[in-house]
Amino acid sequence: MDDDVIKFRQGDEEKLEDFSIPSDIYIPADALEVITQAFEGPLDLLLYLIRKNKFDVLDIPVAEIAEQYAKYIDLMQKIHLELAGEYLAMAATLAYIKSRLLLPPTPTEDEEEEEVDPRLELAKRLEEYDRIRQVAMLLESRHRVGRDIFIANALGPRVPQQALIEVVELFDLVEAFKNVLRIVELSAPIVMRREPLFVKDRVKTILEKLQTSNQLRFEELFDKSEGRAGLVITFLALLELLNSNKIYAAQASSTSPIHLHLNS
Amino acid sequence: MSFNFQQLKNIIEAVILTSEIPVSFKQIASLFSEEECPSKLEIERVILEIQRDCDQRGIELKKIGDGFRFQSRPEYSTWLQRLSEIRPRRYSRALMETLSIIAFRQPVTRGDIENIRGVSVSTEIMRTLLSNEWIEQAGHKQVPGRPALFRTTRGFLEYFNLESLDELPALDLLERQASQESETIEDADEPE
Repeated sequence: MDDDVIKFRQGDEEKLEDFSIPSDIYIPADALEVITQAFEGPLDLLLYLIRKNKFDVLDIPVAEIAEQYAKYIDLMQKIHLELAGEYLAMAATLAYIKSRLLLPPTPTEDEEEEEVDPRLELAKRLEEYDRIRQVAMLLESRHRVGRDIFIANALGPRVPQQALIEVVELFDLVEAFKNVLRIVELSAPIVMRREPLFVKDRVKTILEKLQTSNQLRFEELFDKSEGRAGLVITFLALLELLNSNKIYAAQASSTSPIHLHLNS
Repeated sequence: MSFNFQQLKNIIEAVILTSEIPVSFKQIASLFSEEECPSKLEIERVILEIQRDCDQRGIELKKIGDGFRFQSRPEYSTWLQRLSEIRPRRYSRALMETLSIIAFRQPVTRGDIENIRGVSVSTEIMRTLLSNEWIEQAGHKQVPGRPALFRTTRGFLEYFNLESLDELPALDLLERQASQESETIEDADEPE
């Protein structure tokens, strides 16, 4: 029995390697484990036995194969391997076919219906499985992305595809129309006028304001009646002061009001 | 206006090189306006020319499914692997067999796979195949229980570097062998 195991291990090493089973499981103590790991099921085991004996799949000497098959099953059970039910079912199938072959052909009422070889169905299954096994080996040998081949890909312009197919709601349309109105507003002719305001002067006024009140809220600095230009000048002056470290800005948290202080 | 051959070649080369997925003839054609659109024959000539240009290079233009992509030549994998941080995953024989069955008998149910392999299909394997996007569900079989049907995807072709399922010559060959053999079966039916 042990000889059988050894023989199998040597003979089937190539097959095992095809499917990248780590080579470190070949240590003798685990030899029996190899058997179940190496077989992908009863059909695989049967095919192995048929090949080993150089039998023809289409003309299986069922009695002999059934006996060898049972030996393997026994072996697996002896070492308390949890045997998948499928292995036992196959043993039963083999026994059934064996018995059918021993019986004389059952007389059929229909003359045309020929007695079918009871092994035919099993042979067909074995062939189909064998075919898939070969395909799997072929697939295994294919070049794979990330292992044998790598995609050559230069990053080109990426248009977010999904953004283009999002459903537009009525609300989006209203929003879009608001933008159109804004563009019309912005494109109205602008009258250019010399600005009587200077950042230098504004710096002075801010410093004066701070000296009298010690601290000011950011918004308090701005005089809305001055219009856009005045607001911008004030802001620039503020930045100037912050940059020259004459004042500092502080706030309690990111959402609370900003206060300005003189730097002593 | 229409382009001369070199311009057309440059455009198509750039398109394929910058695309993340293989680019098909149809997609290439769709990039051009009506009057500048090259014929399929012209595109084919361009593709051939680019492929010829690559003969001396480390990359090649390969057809995958109905699209084209640039990829490194397999003979340089040793060095490229050192560059890549992800070690390629190994897949079990059971997984490869399951995938093979889906590829060649699609669409199939789990039951079909179990019948062919003679063992039950592990959920883990199906999950891996689905999450790798090598297979996808393709409706349900109209039998009691309405089991899900599975088929392989374009991602399967892309990963295994296949132009089409026919590129695995095994199927044709094996089918033919099988049909010859099944004829012999019938002959062998005669009692000896």
